Amino acid sequence: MTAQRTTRDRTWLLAVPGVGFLFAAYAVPLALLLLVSFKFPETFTLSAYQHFFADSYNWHVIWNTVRAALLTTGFCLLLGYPAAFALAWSRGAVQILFLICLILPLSVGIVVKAFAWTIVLRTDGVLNQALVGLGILGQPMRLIFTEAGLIFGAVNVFIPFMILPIYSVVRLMDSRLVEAAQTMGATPLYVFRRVVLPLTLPGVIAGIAFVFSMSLAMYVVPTLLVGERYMTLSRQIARSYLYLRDEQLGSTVAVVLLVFSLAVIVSSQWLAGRTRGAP
Amino acid sequence: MVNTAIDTPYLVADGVSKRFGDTVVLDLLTIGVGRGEFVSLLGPSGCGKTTLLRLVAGLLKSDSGRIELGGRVISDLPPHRRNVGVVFQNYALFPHLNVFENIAFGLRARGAAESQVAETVSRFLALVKLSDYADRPATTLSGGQQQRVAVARALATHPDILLLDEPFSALDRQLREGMQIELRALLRELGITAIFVTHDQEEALVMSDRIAVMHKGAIEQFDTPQAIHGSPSSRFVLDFMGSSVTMEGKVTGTADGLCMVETADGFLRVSGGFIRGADVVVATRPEHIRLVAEPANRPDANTLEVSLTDHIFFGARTVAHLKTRSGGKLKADVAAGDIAAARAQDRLYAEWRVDETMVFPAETGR
Repeated sequence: MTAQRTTRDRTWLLAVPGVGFLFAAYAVPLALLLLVSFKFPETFTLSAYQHFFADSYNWHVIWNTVRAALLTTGFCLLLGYPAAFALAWSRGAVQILFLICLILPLSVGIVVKAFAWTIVLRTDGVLNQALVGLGILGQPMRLIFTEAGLIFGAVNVFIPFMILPIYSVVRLMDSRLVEAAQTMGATPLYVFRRVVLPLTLPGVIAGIAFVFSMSLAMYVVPTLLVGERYMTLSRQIARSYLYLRDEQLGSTVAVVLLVFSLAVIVSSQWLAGRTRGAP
Repeated sequence: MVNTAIDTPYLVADGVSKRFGDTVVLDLLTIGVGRGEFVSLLGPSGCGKTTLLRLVAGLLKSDSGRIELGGRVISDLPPHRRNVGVVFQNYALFPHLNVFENIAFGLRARGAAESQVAETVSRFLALVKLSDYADRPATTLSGGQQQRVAVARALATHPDILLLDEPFSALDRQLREGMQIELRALLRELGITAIFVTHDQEEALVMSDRIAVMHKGAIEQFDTPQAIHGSPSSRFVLDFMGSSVTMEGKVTGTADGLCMVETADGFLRVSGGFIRGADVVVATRPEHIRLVAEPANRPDANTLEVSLTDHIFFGARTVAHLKTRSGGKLKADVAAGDIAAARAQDRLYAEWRVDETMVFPAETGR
């Protein structure tokens, strides 16, 4: 018992290399960078934030960012939730095929994908030609450089991060729980609401946290697909540093973005803990 | 009870077939279970017993045939409209719900009022002696307690029939025996019709009003435990229902209403209408064999000269391993003291009564 206890107490040592690396490579540089937002000119001040939040344009950028992240997360969930079940409940060759479809696109860089989408989305692109050809549209619609195009691309990039955590909980769910519920008189809808959804909720929450925080911070997709028309927090950070050479503005925006992401992660962890420890 | 059961079956499966791909799992199976009867489906894995249970529950659809429960045809209904209760092999308790909510699940799914739910659940909690555990997460209970929750949950909706799929297989031996008797008493008390799937012949003998021994998708014998054990209808049932002693032989004639069977070790008497020259297998159970020093040569007994090769002590009984003159092997359940006596003899005979002798036609390909 005592020996077991000691071994268990030392397990934290396993995290030392990883945490050490993150500390040196991520936490320290980030902290130094972010501290700039509070230092004006030499003493601690929140004036940079006062300026940032006083500007209605910045609120517009925040809204753009959150809106794009919400839409992306929503569509990823809508498409990814059933797909995760298909992946978990398929067998053999079909399952391998599904997994390839899921993993392979991850190995293609976002830049390559973004240029591929422009071929599909541009005014004389495949999608427009098809829609006009089918008579759904009278004339080609503008898709690229719009929010719709942005969401289209972002969902494509982030959907594996919604499917995989849901897949992992569905795979662990005993399918006889569904059968048990059915034999007790539960309709398919009731089974879904009272058995399937609660049991897969931890995966859903993890997927939402992944996709939402990643799409909140996305930079390449909006830059390549929408450009100047759709300013997001990430793009504003880059612009501050690269074009405006305003380090303080850049780090201020970065802190705002970080706070949003932290809020998502903390609240999703809290939600996941609540569903797991439900009395 | 058994007789009325046969006259007016409460559950009827009529000509039910099921195949998975090229494998025929159930082949035109027909069975009738009486109201309040406890019937076991007994057989080795792959005999189709679980498939039959799942067909009754509606978790599988049969390729042909019809299933009736309490006079209504249920084979085309989805599971949630069949009013059955199922106890699954590993209980399948909802891990996100506590004991109370697990038992309440079916009632709430059917839209019962909360006051009625509370009343019914506490009654069933008391019935399975788990009243103190209502608030515990269901999957944190011990195996035996989870099993009781599963039974209470299946019964709480007042099902027309209770279906049990090897519910004791995850429990250790001690607990299993206690649970078997407890469940049997509970179901008797409530008058529930039950179908019980098991591969454990002892379990089936202990619990059942009748046992259906299944083999290769068909029912081999459907009868009381006593009849299944004492007079198995086929070689398969004989082998499946415990250990047996068998000798091959040929029918050479009849005398006093008995057939004479010539085996490698001499003549044996059996009752049965076999024609002269038929190849048969003569069998008995180890517990019917006595070891004697002198052959009695009575017309109502069979005797073979044997030698003792080994004996194995099982506590309550000892199994003597015997060899006939031709090298055939027999087993006999004897009292521990008989082994010492048997060893002291120059000559030893195995003896058992003719009415404890079974005979089956020899099967090819066995």
